Amino acid sequence: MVARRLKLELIKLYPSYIVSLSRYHQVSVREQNKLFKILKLSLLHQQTLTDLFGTQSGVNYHLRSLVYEKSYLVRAHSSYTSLVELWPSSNWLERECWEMFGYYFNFHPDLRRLLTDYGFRGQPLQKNFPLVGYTQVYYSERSKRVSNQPVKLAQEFRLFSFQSPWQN
Amino acid sequence: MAKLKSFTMNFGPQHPAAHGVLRLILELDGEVVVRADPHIGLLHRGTEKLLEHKTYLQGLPYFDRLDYVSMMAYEHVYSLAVEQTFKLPVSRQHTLIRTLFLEITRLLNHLMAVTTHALDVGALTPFLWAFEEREKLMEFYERVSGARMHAAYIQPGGVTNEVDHQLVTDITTFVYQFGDRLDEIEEMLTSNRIWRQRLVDVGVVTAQQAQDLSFSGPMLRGSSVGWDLRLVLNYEAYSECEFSVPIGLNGDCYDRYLVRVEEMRQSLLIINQVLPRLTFTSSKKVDQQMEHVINNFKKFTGGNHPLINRRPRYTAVEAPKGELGVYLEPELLQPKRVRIRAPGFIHLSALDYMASDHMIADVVTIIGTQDIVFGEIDR
Repeated sequence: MVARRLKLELIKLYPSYIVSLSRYHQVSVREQNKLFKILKLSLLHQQTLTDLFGTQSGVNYHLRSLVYEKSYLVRAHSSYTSLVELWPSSNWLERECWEMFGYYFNFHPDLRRLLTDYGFRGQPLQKNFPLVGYTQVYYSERSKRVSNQPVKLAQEFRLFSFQSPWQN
Repeated sequence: MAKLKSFTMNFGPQHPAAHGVLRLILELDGEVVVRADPHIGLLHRGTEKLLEHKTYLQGLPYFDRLDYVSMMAYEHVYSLAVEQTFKLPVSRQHTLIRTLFLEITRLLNHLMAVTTHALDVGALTPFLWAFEEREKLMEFYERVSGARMHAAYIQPGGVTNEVDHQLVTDITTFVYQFGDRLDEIEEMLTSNRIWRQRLVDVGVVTAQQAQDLSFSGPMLRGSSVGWDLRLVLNYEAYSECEFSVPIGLNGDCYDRYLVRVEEMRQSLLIINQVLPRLTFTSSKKVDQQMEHVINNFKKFTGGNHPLINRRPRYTAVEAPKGELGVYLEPELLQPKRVRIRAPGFIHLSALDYMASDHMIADVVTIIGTQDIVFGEIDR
């Protein structure tokens, strides 16, 4: 198990920063510059960055070794440094992560919004952002252009928050 | 001599070669691209957010609408993620049906990818031929699910309907003639002078670069990296099937085209191996027990069975476009977070890299070779 050896190596090199290592190859990291080192080490082991995405608890890095056919997930919880110089593919992934959750990536060369509309405000994937959003676009006959207005729904959004039938 | 300033040009979002709603800001030095800045998100529907507000089964049809040229591959990865979370078993027959339809989906996708690419470069004929074949394949979709495209056929726990014997016969007939159709398409393209002039040595990506850019699927294999998740992860019935994984040698657009065509031929091989393994029973076994009926009703109305595995997990499959992954953070009724790792998103982010120092006409070739579909990129 080469991937296992790699994990052990990670633990040996950075013992105090790795919070947990589960059998699903998840590594939690609390301090940022240590994370950067770990990811750099991964690069030396010819890992590719498969994915980078945000969750409520922080940013997840999904790394994979094409040689050893193993992958693992590194989760980071504090401030984040951009990985663009390690993996160019992290550019857009970080932009998306910043836009959707508001996680700021230090030293990112081009941190702009990506998927939302021009001039969009807010972090849509955060739990306090309502599903229907705050504004909607419409064509303004008066100013002859597309413009924004507060969202109006003809029908109330139905939230199916009933109890699970399995609980009783 | 006057110094020339580079100028900026807008490309799209309504350009036919932009494969949907891609807006490109091209910085040009004469006809040479200095920088390409894709503006995406014009088809952003917030699928990941919507999924947090749906039960696991309600979330499924959203996946059809992500990559709308390889629908079942997307349903499949979501179903796999839900199955692993709830430890749902899949019967042998359904595993085979899934494998069969996943390969049909690969044919659907690659037919579209190769021939719209040809269309962008200027060859209309293969496009028309391929769409005739796609129509047949979508008819197979329709016969099992009732829908030509957004099938919602592969579901957590199996597939929604059984296939009948007639369908298997018809798929056999289709497979029998499809190799000839591929030959015809190749006759028009592979040794075509114009096609080669437009593709050979355009958008070259070395193996190391492809890995640094997190490429997957034909984009990675075109750069001579033999990596296929069907072999690595052994999901569904792929471990029982014999097929080979084609790789390109030069990493240019032409090699990626060849890889896609060869993948279609390999898909035919897989379909041929799956079809005889399907079994047919004359009478459909109906679950009559009241307790099971109640269970089933609860499952479809109130979400899935009591959560067994709360651990967030990442599930990946080899979709026609590359590695397609779903990261699922489960909660009782609804997922807490769903992340969709769309291969096209990662590929498009490398457009700037691939198109720099190319002529402006090559940008169209590179967009075509990346097999861009905006449903999955914008999500």
